[in-house]
Amino acid sequence: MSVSTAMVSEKATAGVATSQSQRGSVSVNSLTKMFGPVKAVDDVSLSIEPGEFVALLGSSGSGKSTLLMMIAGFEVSSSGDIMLDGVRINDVPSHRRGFGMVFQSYALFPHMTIAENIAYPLRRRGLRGGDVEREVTKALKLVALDGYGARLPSQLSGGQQQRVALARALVFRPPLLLMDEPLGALDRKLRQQLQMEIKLIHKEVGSTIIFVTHDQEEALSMADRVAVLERGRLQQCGTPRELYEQPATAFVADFIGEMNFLPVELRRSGGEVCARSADVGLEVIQEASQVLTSGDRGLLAVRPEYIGLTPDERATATVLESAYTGTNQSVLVQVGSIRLTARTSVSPGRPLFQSGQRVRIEIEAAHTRVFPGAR
Amino acid sequence: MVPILLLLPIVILFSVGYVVPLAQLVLKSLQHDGAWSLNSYIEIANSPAFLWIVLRTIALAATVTIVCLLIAYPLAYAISKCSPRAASLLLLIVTLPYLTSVLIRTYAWIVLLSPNGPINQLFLRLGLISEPLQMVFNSVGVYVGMVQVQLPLMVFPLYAVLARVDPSLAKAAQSLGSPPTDAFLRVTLPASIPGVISGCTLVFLSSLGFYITPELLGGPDSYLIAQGISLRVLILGNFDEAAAQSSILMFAVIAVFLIFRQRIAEELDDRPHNNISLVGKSTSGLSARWPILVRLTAVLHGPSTRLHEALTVARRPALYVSAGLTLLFLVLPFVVVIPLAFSDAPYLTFPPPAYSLRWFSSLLKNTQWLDALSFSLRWAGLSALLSVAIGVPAAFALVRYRFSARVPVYLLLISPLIVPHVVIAVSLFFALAGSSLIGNPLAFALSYTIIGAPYTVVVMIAGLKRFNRTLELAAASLGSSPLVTLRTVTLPLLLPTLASAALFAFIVGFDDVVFGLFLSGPTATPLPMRMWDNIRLEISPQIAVIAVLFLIVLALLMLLRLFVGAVVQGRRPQESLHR
Repeated sequence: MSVSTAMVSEKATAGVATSQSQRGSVSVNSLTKMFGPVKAVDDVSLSIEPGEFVALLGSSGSGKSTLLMMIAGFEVSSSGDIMLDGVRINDVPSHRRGFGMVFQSYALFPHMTIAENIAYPLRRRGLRGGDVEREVTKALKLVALDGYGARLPSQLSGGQQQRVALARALVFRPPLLLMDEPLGALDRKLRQQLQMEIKLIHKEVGSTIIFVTHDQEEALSMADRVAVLERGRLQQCGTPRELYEQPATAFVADFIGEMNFLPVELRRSGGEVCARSADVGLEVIQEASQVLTSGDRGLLAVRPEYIGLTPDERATATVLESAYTGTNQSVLVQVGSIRLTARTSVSPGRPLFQSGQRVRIEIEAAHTRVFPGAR
Repeated sequence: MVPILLLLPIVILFSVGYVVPLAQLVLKSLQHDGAWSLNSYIEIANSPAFLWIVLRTIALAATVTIVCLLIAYPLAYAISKCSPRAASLLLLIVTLPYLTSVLIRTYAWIVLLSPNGPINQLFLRLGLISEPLQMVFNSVGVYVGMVQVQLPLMVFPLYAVLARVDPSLAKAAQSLGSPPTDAFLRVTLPASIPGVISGCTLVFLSSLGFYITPELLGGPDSYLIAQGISLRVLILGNFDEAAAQSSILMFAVIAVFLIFRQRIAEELDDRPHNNISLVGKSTSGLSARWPILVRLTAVLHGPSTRLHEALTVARRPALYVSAGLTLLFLVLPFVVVIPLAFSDAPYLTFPPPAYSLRWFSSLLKNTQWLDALSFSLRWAGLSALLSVAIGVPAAFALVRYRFSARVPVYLLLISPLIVPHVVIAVSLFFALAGSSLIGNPLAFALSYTIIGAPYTVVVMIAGLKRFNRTLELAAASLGSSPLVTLRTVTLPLLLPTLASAALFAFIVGFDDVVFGLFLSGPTATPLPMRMWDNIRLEISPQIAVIAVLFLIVLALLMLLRLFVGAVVQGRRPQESLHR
């Protein structure tokens, strides 16, 4: 979050004069892609600052890859604009857009050596001889693969191949790097290692990165800002913390992290909304935001860590099941007709919650959010 | 616009050398003495001899199809159960006859089946028979020869579907209580029905218009429609009736082709081949169409379970014995031909009394054979290059672009694989008659290209569909324009496919006899025509020498192809094959 604000202020002070380091701003305005009658991407607007690392997060069919493919020029948009550094690029063919791209399947040219692969974009730009060799060596060093230049892609492991793909996409210093689920084909451990490496490389080269993933953990841990898409619509774009703490929609609230939803009755008075849950016997008063203008039913969202449990033989809530995870205990509780998950920290000496135990529930109103709709 | 440009060369060539002559042939059949008339058809309809020929042709094609299916299925099934390495080797053995001249194989069958040939000798020695069986120059010879010639056409589509059937489906059925044979009947067999249909269609259609094998192996009692047509053109000069019979044969073949075209045009289908949906569709179709079948299996359940259990024990040996015998049947002709080439005898006898290289030196001294060889190499080679030049852009257009005429154009371009060569050759003969092109090498270049280009189109379409297009996107993202991508990424990676395409087109032209019969002249005699005359007039070990040389060249080409493939594919990471 802090990184992104720093970038913004830097740009503001630099003014209109665009220097080398500040190329790579991307904005899409009301971008829509139709596949027949289906809107794969539906009126998405998004503005990305130079040097920012933005993740496009969504499940399959959310439109995140289609959005990336339109920015790359591999898909033609149905309407809307794509701007790169203030220039509309909708009609510019891919190979003249000047971005680098990393694919999930690595897409290394199997008939060329690693060095030839990395030299490929340099040769397309007219570089010859010693210049090429120097840049290739530097790029291999950047991804910690010095000395692998003479090998063929098939002789490298998946993680190494993806690092070569990264080197190839960065060697010509593109202001913008697109990554389409680049770590999707790797196992968990390698994925975490490469996540770190990509963040370090991002700091070093300073290119803008747009990173598509379906893995929320990956998106939250890597990106400055995360854009959550669902069924082609942009649900919210914000820092990981904003998404977690102030989800804009019930979808985002549900998608990012764990969330409990309680059905509530809504009553409005003046500029405030009162949400009341009969099951839990809870009342939350919130400022009436735009989404809560109508309807008398809503959902109250609360994260497991903000649900407090106290053993109480006279309480109405019952522990159904619990799971001990070391520092925490996750507890599934039945209250009336609903089930809630609570996460309590485990302290030495204090007993764990047991199935069948009666508990009292406390929810911190400050950490709840109310959304329209019903389950 | 782009697909039109890519398709233009092949469409122009096919129009001039294929569609227009065939159209003229049909028009000719509808004329008599320069006026419109159905006279030729009326005469044919009134001729009981022709009807008998038609019936005999259909009966032969149907029998060959059924026999091929019965012996190809166990082979294809056994291959589909092999490890990938063994499977590709076995498929190569199946391909070998397909790539070898039909003339050579037919010649080998004459040797094998003749009254003093090895098969009769073996039977006599075993005491199975007391005097030699007459197995050649009658319908027995035709059946044996035809089945061997057509077998690969049945094995390939069967193998293609059987290899796609998920083996865990049959295991799942077994784990749910089906005995293995029952699991086969309920899961694997229904899933392979599409392959059975396309294999049977291919073999049946190709048998309908077959010429060489019946002509050389058959006797007067096994006279077929293609022979009737060529007899009318070459000997009797009855052009009107020949045109009418050709039209009937062509339309019959096209009709069957169009009925089953969904199976054949599947190559262009964009849906990914999904094992489960394939199986699901076929099984539900089977039960819905034949409810009686389901009831029958229910009634037979008790006894059939015992039968299945018996089969469970016997099925593996039975499968391997059957597959082994079929493979032996496929390669038997080559086994015979090789020793024959080194025969010392001045005439054909098997086994040769002594060995020498006399027939090799006799070939090298004979300028007629050498001229014919160089003629065939030159013009089949030129046609192969031309086929690639026009077939490859066409394949790109058909795979990479969507346009309304896509499927019709595809069907047109592959139709020379289906329309009997006798019909195409007769139509070209009529179209070129009177011009200086009869007996001109250019006529061969044209006709070889028309029968060769469909192979390049089919091979390239398969190659392009397997091609990982992400590589092209990657090239574009790295700043490469489409043409540079084609030069630096797409074509280098498709090199093995291009080599296969060229090889197929070359062999199709190099092996041709039918066009040779109609288009040869004193200055233009291809090698197969010399072989044809030799087999019909004197039948000497000379053909065996050519066969051996042919096999050596084929083996070298295949090694080269494997080498090119290894160079490119060995470098291909597994991941890039599955996007």
